[in-house]
Amino acid sequence: MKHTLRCLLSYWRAHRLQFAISLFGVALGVAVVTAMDLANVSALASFRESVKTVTGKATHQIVAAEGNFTSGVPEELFAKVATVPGVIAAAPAIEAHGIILPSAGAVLGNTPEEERRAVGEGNGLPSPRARSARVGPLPGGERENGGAAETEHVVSGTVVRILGVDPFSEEDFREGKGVDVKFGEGSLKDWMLRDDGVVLPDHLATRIGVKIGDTVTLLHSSRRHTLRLIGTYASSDKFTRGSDDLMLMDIAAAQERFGIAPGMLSSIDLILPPAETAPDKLVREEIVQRIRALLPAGIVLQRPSERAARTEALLEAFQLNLTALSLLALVVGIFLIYNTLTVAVLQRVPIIGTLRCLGVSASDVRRAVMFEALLLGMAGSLLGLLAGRALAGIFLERVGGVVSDLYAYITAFSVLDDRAALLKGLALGLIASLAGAWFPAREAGSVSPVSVLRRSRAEHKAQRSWKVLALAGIACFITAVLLALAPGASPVPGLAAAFALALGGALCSPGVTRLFSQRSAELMRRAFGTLGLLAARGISTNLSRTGLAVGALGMALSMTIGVALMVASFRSTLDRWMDQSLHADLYLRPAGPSLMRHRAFVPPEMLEQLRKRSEVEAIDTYRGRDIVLPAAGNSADGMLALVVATDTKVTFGRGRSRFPFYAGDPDSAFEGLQNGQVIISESLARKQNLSLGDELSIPALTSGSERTLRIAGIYYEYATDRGVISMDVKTYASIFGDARANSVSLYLKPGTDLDATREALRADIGAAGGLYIFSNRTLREEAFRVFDRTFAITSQLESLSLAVGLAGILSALLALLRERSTDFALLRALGLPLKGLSKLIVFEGLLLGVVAFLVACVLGPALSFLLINVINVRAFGWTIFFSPHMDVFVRVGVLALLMSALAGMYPAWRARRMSISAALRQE
Amino acid sequence: MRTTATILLFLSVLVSSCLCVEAVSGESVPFRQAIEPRTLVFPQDHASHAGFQTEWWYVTGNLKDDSGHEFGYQFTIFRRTLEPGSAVERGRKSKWAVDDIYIGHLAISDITGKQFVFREESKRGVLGIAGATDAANAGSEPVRIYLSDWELRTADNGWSMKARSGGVEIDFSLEKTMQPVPHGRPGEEGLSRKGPKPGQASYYYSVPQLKTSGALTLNGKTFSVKGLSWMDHEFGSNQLSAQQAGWDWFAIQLDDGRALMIYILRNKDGTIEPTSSATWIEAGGKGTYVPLDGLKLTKQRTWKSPQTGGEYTLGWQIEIPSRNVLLTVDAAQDDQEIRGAKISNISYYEGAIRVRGRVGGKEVKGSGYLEITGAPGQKDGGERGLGGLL
Repeated sequence: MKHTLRCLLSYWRAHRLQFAISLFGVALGVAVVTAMDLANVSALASFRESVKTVTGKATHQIVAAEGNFTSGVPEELFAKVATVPGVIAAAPAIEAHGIILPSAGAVLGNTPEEERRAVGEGNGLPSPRARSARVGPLPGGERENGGAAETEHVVSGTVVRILGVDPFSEEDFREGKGVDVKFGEGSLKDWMLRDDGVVLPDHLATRIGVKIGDTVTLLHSSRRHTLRLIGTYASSDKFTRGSDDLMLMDIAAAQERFGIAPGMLSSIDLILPPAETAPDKLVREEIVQRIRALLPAGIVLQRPSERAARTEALLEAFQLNLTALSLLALVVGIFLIYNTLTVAVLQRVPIIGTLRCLGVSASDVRRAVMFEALLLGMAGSLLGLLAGRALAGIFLERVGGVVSDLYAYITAFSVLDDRAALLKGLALGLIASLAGAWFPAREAGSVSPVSVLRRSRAEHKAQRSWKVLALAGIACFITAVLLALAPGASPVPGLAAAFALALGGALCSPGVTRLFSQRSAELMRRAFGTLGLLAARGISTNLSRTGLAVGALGMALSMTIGVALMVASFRSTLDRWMDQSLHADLYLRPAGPSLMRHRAFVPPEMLEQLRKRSEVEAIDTYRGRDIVLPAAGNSADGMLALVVATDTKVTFGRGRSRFPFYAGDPDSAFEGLQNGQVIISESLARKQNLSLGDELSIPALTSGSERTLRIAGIYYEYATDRGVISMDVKTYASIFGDARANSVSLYLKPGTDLDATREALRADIGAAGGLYIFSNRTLREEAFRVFDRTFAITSQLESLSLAVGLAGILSALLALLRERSTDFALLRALGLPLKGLSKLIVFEGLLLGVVAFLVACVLGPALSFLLINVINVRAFGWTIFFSPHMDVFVRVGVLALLMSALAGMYPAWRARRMSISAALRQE
Repeated sequence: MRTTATILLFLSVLVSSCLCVEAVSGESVPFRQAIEPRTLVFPQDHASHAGFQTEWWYVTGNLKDDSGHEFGYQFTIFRRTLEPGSAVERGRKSKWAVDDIYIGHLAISDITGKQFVFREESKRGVLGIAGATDAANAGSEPVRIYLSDWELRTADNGWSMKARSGGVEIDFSLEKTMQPVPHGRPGEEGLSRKGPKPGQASYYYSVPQLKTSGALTLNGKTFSVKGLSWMDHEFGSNQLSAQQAGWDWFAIQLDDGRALMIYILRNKDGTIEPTSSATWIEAGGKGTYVPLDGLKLTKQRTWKSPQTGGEYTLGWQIEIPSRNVLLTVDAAQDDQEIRGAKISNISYYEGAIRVRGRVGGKEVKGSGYLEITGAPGQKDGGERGLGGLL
């Protein structure tokens, strides 16, 4: 077999470009899959790391039942729990978030976007920005308030996690050698005694330009805190990953300033003995039971991983979709390998025939071809891994951005060299190569010893087999439909259906190509003369090549159109939804990442100030809180959901009839809300299988038991993919015993100048308190920015698949050029000018592009239907209203034609260098 | 890597810096001072004395199980106020805001098993995590000094005491055989001077000859033990001066029911602080002050700690000519050095001793405890010794 292989491999020396294109296909496919996988794994690892920096070696945590630190654990529990026999260590913690401002006088923008613009293109330095608004005196600031227009330094703050700890309880939670803390003179006592002492990671201190002894201005829930840096800690490599943003304080100071309520802790972290063996398990179980017996209603003992797992569950759907998209690139790569190897086999039929004459068995030939593919796959995969590792950084930035926007606020992501992901990439690359080589290898094995047949034999077969392929394609379509209709809540069958659909399209492509080129021949002749006719004929007579190229590109284009249509439909759905549900004029919330909006509060006195303003007609308050739904029936155990409370009289005051309901109607929903009923989001209804009039139970903090709520309506909700339970603020207060607001919506009196009011609000409270003030328009813009960021990565994935698809066209045209060199030489000999020959080849490339695009025009919308109605609904629970955005087709069409014409350029150029006599001599 | 990786590393520095007394300054110190003689009243004075910066309850003893397995033990809870005035007075709202921190030391000398184990705990004195009954409230209920699950509590005729840390566990009851014995010059009993200036003193009493029984768990094995313990309770503020290097302290319990407490304060210049003294205690509990010039101590044997380099004098001859007392003291085993006290960051010697000799011509035997701080040659921590705590 060695000799066989050597004979076969010698072929590639003369066909380097073909080889390179295949290599590129495999490498790119593997790169995309690996990069996506690495990005997903790394994002998850960063998330876990950031949880771990806070929980440390804790095996268990005592937290409020809803598990998300929005209500607290009574501090009196600590001493009781810590002395339960068997508890190895216990530590209290206060967790919060804040924004560090670069200077006492600095102010944040009206919106995150304003800050981004003010801070400039990534240099991170605040830039002065002239504003006409007068800014009131800032607490802690040294600014003169002269009353004249002044320059306001709009900055972007640094979000930090605040962690209040008791050093006396922490010893056992540390790992390894830890890190050095540098303290200033006398600062050790400061830690214990001051109510404003903080310790920052040294990186962060350097970045924001503070030294030990300096003051640090921090915004928390619209209040400015002047803190003092009493120490810094060196963030070791390990430490940097999740904790570069961790500000440490004494538990007492943190509780006073940033605590949930007086006397409350965010958590009590525990180390319990290991439970690896059965007797140990019993011991631990006993300890757990003893602790549980001490806990009042509404307080639970859980493992830190359980808390993380709920967020991870939310992330899963998002990451699954990305993985599926990345696989597409690899599937397109398989086509490429198939194509290259088929060409290679056919071109080497004389060699193979001779080898067979010399006594090489058919299975040896088959094996040799497979082995050849394995070499190609190995080389391509290794290249792909390298590229994937590099690409992973870019992907992670995108994925991380989305994770931070929507799932878990994390400031630092770093690519993790996950061995499993790398091995998976390698394995997929090899499998793809072997799969692509399967048919070519059989083809090679079937070459008979005497046969010195030319490709025409294969071509005859291809001309016949398009029917078989088309039938297989139709079978794929049927499979796709069946998969799409399969019941269940998992999006996986939907994704499989999408693949089946794309595969079906690819399989039908030779048939479509044949049909199209035959039908269009006459048209082409009329339009472009003989050349047009020749181009069309060339395609249909070389179906073994062209059909495949069309299939690969068509698949990539279909996905592109499908995803683009879905995104565009989603965007217009979102647009309409915001139009229906956002009725207020101004929206105010404490500055900070949107994901943390539920942890920051508008101070009550600020609310009073707002109510008193003359421009204001009505005020709506918004409160959101994560809860863990009790396990019920066969529904997901402990799913996270969001409880939202608004002043529904105001919420439904304006434009009630327009409020977007999925089930129920605004009037009866309003009626229900006034009577303690709730309305739930569509995604919750789907995930928990709830309908109008059903009841649902949520844990009530006031009573410690569960509260059963009646569903008065189901509404469309696109702001979050977690289930939402929406209620009146009074109902909320009775369940959670808390009436604070996370944000405020202002309805202005008719005729009020919106911009003037916004500026006045900024001057009076917004700038000092670090309050974002969105107008209806800027709020929408912000929403779309998040939306676009979320889908940025999908379009990147599409373009990469598209690149693989186009490599297919290039490869096919090059193969055709080589195979038909005699035909072309004949044409030249018959008087076809060089220019004409080039034109012919470019025409062919274009035609292939057109056919692929036509395939995609049918398959794309079908795919988007699948994405919208099966995959999205199951993964996120959203109804997206399909809208046929013609611009998507135009964009993809132009791209396909342009690229396929471009792909034809090189072969066309090559054709001009062909020697007529040499080519003719072959004949 | 709990956050705290961080914190914990600096905790040791933190606490030791809090504990270590800076030189006594001439400025007015707002802590209450041990200046005036004080009539100690019990059980109230077993409790905690807010306003004084430092206070400790110190129990040592020598125990044996039925098979003759010998142990020595030390159980101490230190209280240290970080700043004069309370957190509430400083306007702090959080109950975690700290007035006092509590540090516990638990050491077992397994004399038969030839090993020495040390455990340390430290907590803030808030929210029932650590604390002590205040003298002002004592009387009606038992006096309790506690630190997580360590506890010293007054009982009908003595104390109950328990501690549990890192596999070491004790649960003892201590029965009084005499009333507390205040230390100090005649006429100012209870005020124990540690230096020439007013305030360089503490209020100090001992309860020797406590009949002890209970359980001791070590390395997963529980011993039922009996023996004698000695309790010390001392409180004050800034009692040590800057030139003092450390001290040697003896708690000797003789089989005939008598007892002897000696403290010798060593200055950095090699001299002995003149206020160093002893108290001779008769079997009934009558204490007699013995000034420094009434004592004759001769060093007989030293042991150098391989770990810290500290040179400890473990063998002594003690003479009180006025009472015709001549005792030979030696450690029950060499290594009883407390080191690696992460939180208090100090090393010192706290060890069981064996005593033989003659009192008034009669042969006596006994046991007790020897404490040596600020031993010469200590590489770390030792310099400051327990000085801070005093």
